[in-house]
Amino acid sequence: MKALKVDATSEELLDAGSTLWRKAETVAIHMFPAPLGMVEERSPFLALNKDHGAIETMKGSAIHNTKALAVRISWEVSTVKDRLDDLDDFVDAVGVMFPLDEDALAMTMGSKDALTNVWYWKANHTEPYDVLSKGFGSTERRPGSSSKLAVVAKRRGNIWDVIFTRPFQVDGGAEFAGFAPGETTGIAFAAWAGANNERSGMKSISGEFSELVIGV
Amino acid sequence: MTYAPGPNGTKAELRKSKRQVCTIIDLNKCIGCQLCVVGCKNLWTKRPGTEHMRWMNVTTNPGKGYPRDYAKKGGGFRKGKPRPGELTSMTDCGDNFQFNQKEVFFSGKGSRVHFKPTDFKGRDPSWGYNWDEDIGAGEWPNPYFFYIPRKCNHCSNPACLAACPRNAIYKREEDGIVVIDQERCDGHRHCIEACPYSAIYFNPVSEKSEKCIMCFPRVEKGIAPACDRMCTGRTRAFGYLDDKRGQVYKLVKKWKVALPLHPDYGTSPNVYYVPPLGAREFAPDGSVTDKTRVPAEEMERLFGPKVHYSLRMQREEREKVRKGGKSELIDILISKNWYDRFGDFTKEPLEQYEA
Repeated sequence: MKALKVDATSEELLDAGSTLWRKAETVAIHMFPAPLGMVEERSPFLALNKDHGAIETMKGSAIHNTKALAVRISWEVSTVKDRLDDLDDFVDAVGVMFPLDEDALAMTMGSKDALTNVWYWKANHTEPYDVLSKGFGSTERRPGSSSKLAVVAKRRGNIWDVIFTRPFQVDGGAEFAGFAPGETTGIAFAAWAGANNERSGMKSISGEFSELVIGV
Repeated sequence: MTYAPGPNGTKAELRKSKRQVCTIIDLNKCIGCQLCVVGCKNLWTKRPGTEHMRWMNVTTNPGKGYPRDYAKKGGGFRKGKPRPGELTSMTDCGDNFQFNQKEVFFSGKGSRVHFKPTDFKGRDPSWGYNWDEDIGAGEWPNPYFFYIPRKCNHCSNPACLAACPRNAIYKREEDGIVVIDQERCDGHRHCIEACPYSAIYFNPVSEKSEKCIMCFPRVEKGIAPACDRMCTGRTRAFGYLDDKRGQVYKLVKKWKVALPLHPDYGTSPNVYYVPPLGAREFAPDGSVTDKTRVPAEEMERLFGPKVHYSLRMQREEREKVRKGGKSELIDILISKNWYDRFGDFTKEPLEQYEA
């Protein structure tokens, strides 16, 4: 995926209707159920689940204005879940992951020696989380305000359209992914279908990190 | 201090405890008054999002229990392997009925309008806490039922702890109380599915899971849990399982009359029950027999095969006393001195606020 350089304010990056986004390359993201065998030690009960992974494909694109990166994801769900109507309800959610270390693996959400950073949005919240992950089960949800991570989520029928944006660099942010024009980093995706009771490791993932080129 | 290994602790570390506090509940004496439930509710579950929760609950057996049909929802371990379980709904958890007080009392229509509850979606309720109270089972003239008070069992092999992918659940090292770290919990609810007793509840406001904390802030100050102290029927004992002077040790280890509920769930619970002998059966001619009305298989289903030993021991010791003899077991069960019930935890609740 290539993040196209555009001439825009950071607020304009969040405008899904803007012509800026029409110029960006849109890629199809193949999603598959997260393999839960590897979490058996962490949760043998979670590892019993087999019916997750309802979201099979998403579309992704990215733009930047040399100061902030914006990543846009859209996907269709069979039934929209954007609130908790009962105690056994779960909501739609999406995550975009970046490595903080070149050795970090997306499949394990990093490790204690190779961290990852996830931009996470869930449909019943307006503010996103800027998550630090040191491996499966170790995530730390930091409020989006801690890094100026912003999100706009729109829905047309059963199709979610979510745009995240965040400054390239976070002040004092060794534990936040940083970006710069001309650089290449990794990007991976995860999505949770609330109607299918998906949460935690019960999700669809895009697999290992693929390249994200920050255009010049 | 609590012991919290954090996200990188192993499950074995999270399960580790040096001592274990236990509650004993004598089902022969529980009258279903719900005082334990009220004591708990007032203390812990009046916060937003906890209205439906009864960390302590008392329901009628046979019956669907609380949360509704918890015994049919799976979870726990079978032959050491995790068994999948189900989540509970707001209705299962007894809901949070709203009543038309304003309409009845302040609208001038009090003579025509009656009190009417609505459920959390504004509908006529279809189920609620103790909806099947006192129905029980059996045919006239020998119907039967008894009450089962339940709270988190603070298990030695907690399925909730095993299930939490975030390692947010751990046993406190000093007393074996199982707690959910509210900072680490992300509300994924795998613990609710895994607990075969459905003793964990989801808070939809905080979006985290909660459960009985065995009143640990009181226990740390030598005060027994609120539910145990509230019991008007002196059905409860509380203390360390390894305290040989205490009634917990004597009922569980020495006399072996107190048993866990559903030992077949594989979690090694630390709430123990003295199984009820039950009312005696009427013969067809109306005379009272020596037989109990509660079927033996029902007792075995609830408390496992050791229930027969417990019931026999209770009968034998009762008979001994009836004939003028002395019995330590019957003295404990009668509970002539209330403070003897609580081992090291006999301080008064208000003492915790004293300098």
